[in-house]
Formats: sequence, structure tokens, C-alpha cells
Amino acid sequence: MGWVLFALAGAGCLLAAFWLMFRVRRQLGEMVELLEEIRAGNHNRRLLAPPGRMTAPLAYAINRLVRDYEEERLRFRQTEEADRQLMTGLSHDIRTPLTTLIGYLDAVHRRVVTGPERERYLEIARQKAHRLKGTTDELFSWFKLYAGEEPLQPVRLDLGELTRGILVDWVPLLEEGKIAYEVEIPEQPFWVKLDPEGYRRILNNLLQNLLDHSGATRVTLSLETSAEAVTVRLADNGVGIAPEDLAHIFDRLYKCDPARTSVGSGLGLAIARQLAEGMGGQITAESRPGQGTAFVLGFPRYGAETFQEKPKVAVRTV
Amino acid sequence: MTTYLIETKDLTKQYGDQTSVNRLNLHLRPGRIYGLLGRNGAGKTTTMKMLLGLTRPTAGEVLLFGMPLRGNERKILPRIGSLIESPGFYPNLTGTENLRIFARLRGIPSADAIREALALVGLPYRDKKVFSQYSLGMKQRLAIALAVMHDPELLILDEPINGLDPIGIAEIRSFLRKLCDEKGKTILLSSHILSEISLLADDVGILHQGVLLEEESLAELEARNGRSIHLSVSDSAQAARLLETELHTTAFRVEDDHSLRILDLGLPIPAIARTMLAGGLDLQDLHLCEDTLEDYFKRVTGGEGIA
Repeated sequence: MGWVLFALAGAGCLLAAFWLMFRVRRQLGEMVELLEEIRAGNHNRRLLAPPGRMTAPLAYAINRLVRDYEEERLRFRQTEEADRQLMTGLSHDIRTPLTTLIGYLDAVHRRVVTGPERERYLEIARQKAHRLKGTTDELFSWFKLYAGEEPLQPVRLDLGELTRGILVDWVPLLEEGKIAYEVEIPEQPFWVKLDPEGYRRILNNLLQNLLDHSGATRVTLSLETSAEAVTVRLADNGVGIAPEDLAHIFDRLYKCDPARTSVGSGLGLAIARQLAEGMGGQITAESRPGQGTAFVLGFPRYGAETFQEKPKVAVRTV
Repeated sequence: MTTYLIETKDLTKQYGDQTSVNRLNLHLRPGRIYGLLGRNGAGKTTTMKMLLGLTRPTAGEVLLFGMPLRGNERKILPRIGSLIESPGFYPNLTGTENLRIFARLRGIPSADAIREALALVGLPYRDKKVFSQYSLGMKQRLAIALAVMHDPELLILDEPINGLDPIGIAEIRSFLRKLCDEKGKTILLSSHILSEISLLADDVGILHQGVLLEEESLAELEARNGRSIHLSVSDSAQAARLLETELHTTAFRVEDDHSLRILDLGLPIPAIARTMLAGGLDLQDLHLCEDTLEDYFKRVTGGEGIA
């Protein structure tokens, strides 16, 4: 009697095993089918499995792989899309000034204007050509920075001294623009490690931006230092920046007011950010519309570390 | 490979002798957010129900992922996450427990899918609060978590921001935008609020009394309806020069050799016309475009407006 039970149990086990095998095989078949579809280009498919299922860990692992790959691919596509938009924006930004320039030269050429008026047109055209070259230069340098082709050469320097040196050149321009200025740079040295030319360009771009767009009558530049960082703060009392614009001012070609296309390439602040980040620093802006804007640059302090960087001489007992 | 993720062909639904959805031809491109805009009773929910096979169309066809929905439901539906009205959650279980039930039924794509889904919508994992004690906003969040838990390719969301407060709306908005931009999901959502759609959607379909009046990308609609003066002349270069020398404005863009867009709306149109003609230019077109999107929707829906 025992052997019958035994055989029945055996047959039952065998059946269960077959059934399980059948199920797993079907699940594997579904997985292969889906992987084929993923291979064909649809990276958004997922293998779904209830948590307890035998093949679930395999399905989850495959999903993770596909998902990571897809996210990577999408990031790449986003950069591509941004580049495409940049190109369209650039051609727009070149076309308007260039066409206007041609307008003046054509008028001269067709003798629409004569005498002193003709001279005036030629002068306007000349200035426009120069401005266009300025824009092109800026674009070029931005591209070089963006592509990492222009390596920055950081050296240890006193940021206070460097900043004062740069500001001296701006004094006449600020006075011409009737902007009162206040410089709060304490006499102590502010040691940082950065590329002086890069820093000069950041500050120049910020000040140019202030002259062109802020409508400020007062500007304050101050330097502060904390345990880790040196902070440069450039604050004005101008028109300010609307909150919805503030998030984008460091983007390439972002202009707050689309009606003001005449001044600037829209690249100054983007270049400033690229440079600041390229030197291990950061740039932020805070603003209250109607009350003014402050640009804040932060660079890691460099000084305490210099003492540790003494050449390590191997101690050798003779 | 530009197959549409959702395509409908003359989709029609009649209830008795009332036509709720009339010969609808929707086209959803992959990787985009499509906003179905319409007033209450325009047929948005009925359309979505037909897309999900929850109600059978009177006529017409639904194609999802390039396959007809009829007969392929088992293949297609697991690839969609949806939110239509409110899902049936157990009131005496917590959010996590509710999702766990659905995970067992439907399968999930990763071991911690439930926690991830809850984190995405900003609900706590393994909270003690049972569903019946949830606020309206929390219920809505849980429903969205359920829709995204299996990481579907396509989301169909009917009025997803219903019941959320302004901060919640902004959170869900940026969450949906991220799903689309960073994960490549395609989203169809409906709303009766114009500003919501214009903040979120890439493509817009305007549904009015069961008829799809317009289907267009938002960028195109906005470009068509931006506030500016459009000027078509024989010579853009001279027009640009005249704008500067005679009208003293630099706020314009040259679009091509014959057209310009003036952004300075303070310029009187007759003065522009006189200047161009006096400068010896042929004037083909000069008009003010100042429709806002709102005005536009009012016009296409026959003056009744939407919001």
C-alpha cells in the first residue's frame, strides 16, 4: 500500500515540477520577447512581476539596466536639443543686426542719402559692424569655454588686490553713467586660487550687464571671507529682475525683456557662470524688482591648504 | 520611426441620441505632453475612457502603440498608467498597503517600486494613516502614485490636479514635466483650465462639444499669438534701417528678407506705413498680432471661452 502512496506523491511532485517549469519558461519567453522590443529601440518597456514571483529579481535587474541606459540617452538628447536651440537663437541674433547694417550701407550705395547724412550713415554702419564683431567674439569665447578648449590657469592670488585693479578701469565708465560706487574691500589679503584673466572677465561682464540693463544709480562691491570661501558681492539699486526671469539669467541667450534686443549678446552672464564654475566657484543672483539686484560670486579660500602643500620630503634615517 | 503613441480614427461615442464625442482624430507623439483642453462636458473623460477600453466607442478606432486596442488589451493596457476619476482604494488600509495589493495584481518593475512611487508624489512610505482619513489632495496623490508605480510608457490622466492646493499643483506639474523630459514618458492629460495646459503641455488639443477644434503644438500656438507688429516689405534691410533712423526703435527682429517683427507695440501703425512708403518700399502686409492664448481659445470655441 505504501508504494502506491509513494508513487502518487512522486507523480504529484513531478507534475508540480513540470507545471513550475512550464510557468517559468513562459515568463522567460515573455522576457525575451520584451527584450527584443527594447533592442528594437523602445527603451520604455518594463518587465512587470509581482514581488514574490521566482523570476522577479531577474526582471527587476533587467529593468534597472534598461532604465539607467534610457536616462543616460535622454540626457544626451536634451543637450543636443539645447544645442539646436542655441544655433537657432544665434542665427536670429546675428541676422537682425547684420540686416540693419546692410540697410545703412545699401542706402549709402544707392545714394538715398548724400553729403553729411551719408557720412553719418557710414559711421553708424561702422559702429554696427564693430558691435557685431564684439558679439561674434563673445560667442566664440563662449563656445571655447563650453567645449573646454580654453584651459583656465588658476594661480594663488589676493582677490582683494585683483578686484581693486579691475575696478580702476571701470571708474570712468561708472562716472559717465552717473552711477555712484562704493567699494568695501578690507585691507587684509583674500587668498584664492583662480585664473586672473577669467576673474577679470566675470567682473567685466557683471559690470557691463549692470551698466546696460540695471538703470542703477548706486553700486556696491564688497568682499567677505568665511572659513571656507571668499565672497564677492556686487549689488545695485536698479530695476531688479522678475522672479520668473531670475532662474534663467545665467542661461545662454536669455534676455529678460524681448523688446530690448539692441544691447548685448545675451551671453555675458552665461560666460560668467561658465568661468566661475570652471574655477571651482559659483555665481548666484538675488533680486527684488524695483529695488535692485545682487550678484554673488563665491570661490573656495586658498591659504590654509598652502601650508599643507609643502613638498613632502621622505624622512630617511642615515 | 514617428508612429503615434495614441491615434484615434473618427472616434465617436453616442449616448442615446446625444453625441458626446464626434469623429475625433487625436495624434499623440512619443515623448511629449499632450493637453486635452475643454470645458466641463466637452467629452474629455469619455474620450479617455474609450482610449483605455473602459467604454466602447460607437464608431471609429483607437490605436495605441500602433496596434488597435480592440483585441490587444492584455498586451497594451499594462503599458499604460491611468487616472480616471478616482481609483477604488480600500478605505481601511493605508496608502502603502493599497499599493501593495495592486503590485501583487499587476506586477511591478523593481523591488522598491512602491516606495519610489510614493516618494515621487510626496507621500510617506509605510505611514499609519488609512485611506479614509486622507485629504482630497492626498487621495489624488495616491491615485497618481498608482498610475506611475509600474513605470508605464504612457500616462493617461484625467484632470490630474483636481483637489490639489497651489503648491501641490506646482509639485505635480514639475513631476510630470520631469517624467517626460528625463524619463521619456508620454503623457496625455486633460484640464478645463487654460493656464494649466499652457504651463505644462507641448501639444494642445481643444475639445469643444465633442469636436476636436484644433490640434497644434503649444509653441506654434504661442508664436502665432504673441504680441507684436508684423511687417512684410520688399526689402527688410531698408525697413530695418528706416525703423532705426525714422522711428527710433531697435526693438525688432528680422525674420527673413521680406518680413520683420516689431516688438515695440507703442509704434503707431499708420506711422510705420507712412515711413515705409516714404522710404520707397513696397508694403505687403502690416498688422498687429495681439491675441493672447485666451482670446484665441475664446475665438475657436465660438466666444464662450474656456477657463
